[in-house]
Amino acid sequence: MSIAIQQTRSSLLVCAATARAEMRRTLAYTIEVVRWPLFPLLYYVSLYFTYEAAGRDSVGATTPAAFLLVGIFGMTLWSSAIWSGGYAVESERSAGTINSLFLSPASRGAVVLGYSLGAITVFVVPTMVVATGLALALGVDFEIADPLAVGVAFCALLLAALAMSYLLAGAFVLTRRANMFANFIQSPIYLLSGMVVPVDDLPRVLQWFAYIFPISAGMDALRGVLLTGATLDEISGSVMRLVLISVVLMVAGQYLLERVEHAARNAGTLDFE
Amino acid sequence: MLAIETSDLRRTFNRSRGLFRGGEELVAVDDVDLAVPEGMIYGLLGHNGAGKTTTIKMLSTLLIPTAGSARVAGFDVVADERSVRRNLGVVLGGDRGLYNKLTARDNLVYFGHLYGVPRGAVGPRVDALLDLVDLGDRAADRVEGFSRGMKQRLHLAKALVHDPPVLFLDEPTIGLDPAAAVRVREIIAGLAREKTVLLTTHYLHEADALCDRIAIIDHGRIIVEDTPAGIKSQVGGDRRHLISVRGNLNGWTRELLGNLPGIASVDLEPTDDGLTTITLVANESAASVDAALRALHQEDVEVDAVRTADLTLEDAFLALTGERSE
Ligand SMILES: Nc1ncnc2c1ncn2[C@@H]1O[C@H](COP(=O)(O)OP(=O)(O)OP(=O)(O)O)[C@@H](O)[C@H]1O
Ligand SMILES: [Mg+2]
Repeated sequence: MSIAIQQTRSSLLVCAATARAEMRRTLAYTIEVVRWPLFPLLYYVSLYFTYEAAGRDSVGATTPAAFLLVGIFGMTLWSSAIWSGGYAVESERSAGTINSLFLSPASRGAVVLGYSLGAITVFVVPTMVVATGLALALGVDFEIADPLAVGVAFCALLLAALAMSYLLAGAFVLTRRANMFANFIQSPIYLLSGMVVPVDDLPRVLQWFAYIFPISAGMDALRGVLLTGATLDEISGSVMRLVLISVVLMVAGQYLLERVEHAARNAGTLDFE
Repeated sequence: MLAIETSDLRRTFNRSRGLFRGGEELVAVDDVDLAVPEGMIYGLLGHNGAGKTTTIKMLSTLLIPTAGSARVAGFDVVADERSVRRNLGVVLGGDRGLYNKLTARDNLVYFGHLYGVPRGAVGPRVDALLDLVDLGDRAADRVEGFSRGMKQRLHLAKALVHDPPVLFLDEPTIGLDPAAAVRVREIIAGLAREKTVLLTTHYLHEADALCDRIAIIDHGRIIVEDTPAGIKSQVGGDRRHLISVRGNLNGWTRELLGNLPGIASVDLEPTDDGLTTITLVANESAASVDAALRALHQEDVEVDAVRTADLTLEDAFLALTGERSE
């Protein structure tokens, strides 16, 4: 038992140290400081005018302005998770640090999660600022019944993004050309997870995809608590589904990560670009 | 106790030539047996492609052996890889392996955390190591701006951050200027007794000065294992005598010299100025050289100069492995 506690503790420390290192690495580039506010802002503006052009003035129970505000939050969360945690092993490989990392006894999973958390921390503040500015400018009405429910929905969405990037981290190591793969799955998730259009408006087959991505449940929950005054009770179904799928993805990701590391050490390709 | 122990350690690779083209097997490490006692600096020498890095990678859990077994600090490198990693510091040659966007200090702090150094101990330990490798005044600079030698020294500090009992140093002085190389050698020598060091290098004077024992690996196999002095004596002599003579020597004179008692080898090399340099490796130095000079005199060969030099590890290495490399 005490060994398990010790291991969890050391994994948390590794995760925190990696998050700090990832934040420092990211902020070393000036462009990143500009990119993070611009990314949600530009996506928001283009989607907003797409809705305008389509002549839609309501989305479900809310307006496009309000719907998209939560949407861009999910988009930045997902993008930063995929390009940090999902891409972690690949970044280590191209930076030439993968041997140094894998020589250490640190939990690889903790490192991957640290990458995601570091990148997400860097984006959260600018996205909040942009979202607040847009909400004020466009007069978006929030309807919050329970602040605790907002916290729960936010954490659930975070968990979903982490779980999906965790699964990808292992898969990406196999390809050794992860950026091509990451590029082409980044956008479909915007569509399939209800970030840019409601899942209900998608064709039936695509809705099934939405169902297996935990992020879409997180988007539902977050929209509910922020825009239509949903209570903890009302979002508990979505949150449970999200947690369940996320746990499955994490376990699969852990298995994949271990298998892939073993395969690379077996083939002698661990440090090959 | 043995700090490093291998038995029939073997690693093969598939030579990849491209999609759809069948690979052929390449034996990089061929049934290697090593037994390195604690507290020793142990050299692993060999030509390019001999299998040194592959051996180090297997011992450090980066590569899984194809066959055989290995233990480091008492732990099996396959069955107990995490314990091996905790007890091991590794420097892989070259200037990759550090986070370029982080400062020297942040790099060491991060690796300290990866190795589970207690939180309160990381800072002081990192500062001490930066001073040890003379990077104290560059601690707050990003690694991307470092020279190769500075990166190499930072690598050494990184390998020491968790104070491991065993160190693997793969060409730790590659690309260093003479002063920096001397400094790194001093640091390595300072680690002796306290830690076990497995060192590879192509600078054989370095191996001679630092190593307690040396294994020479050739085409994946250990061909000699001994102390540096022992390796030199295996070649048959402890001194080289260089005799310059006028004109060319005939084969008969060469044979005559080779048959003299105490002469281990004879090598003839004509020089540009019409002289020939005879290199004799001799056991009983004075007497053998005397005999050689007398023999040359009898043959009416005019001797221009005689010089004596200690046999270097390099001479022994080349004699044992041949001058080829891949
Ligand atoms: N990952 C790999 N895939 C295929 N072949 C490899 C791999 N790693 C090493 N080899 C081959 O194994 C052999 C031994 O290589 P190794 O790197 O161990 O040599 P070395 O003794 O360290 O040489 P050097 O002094 O040049 O560093 C070489 O023929 C090399 O091409
Ligand atoms: Mg090598």
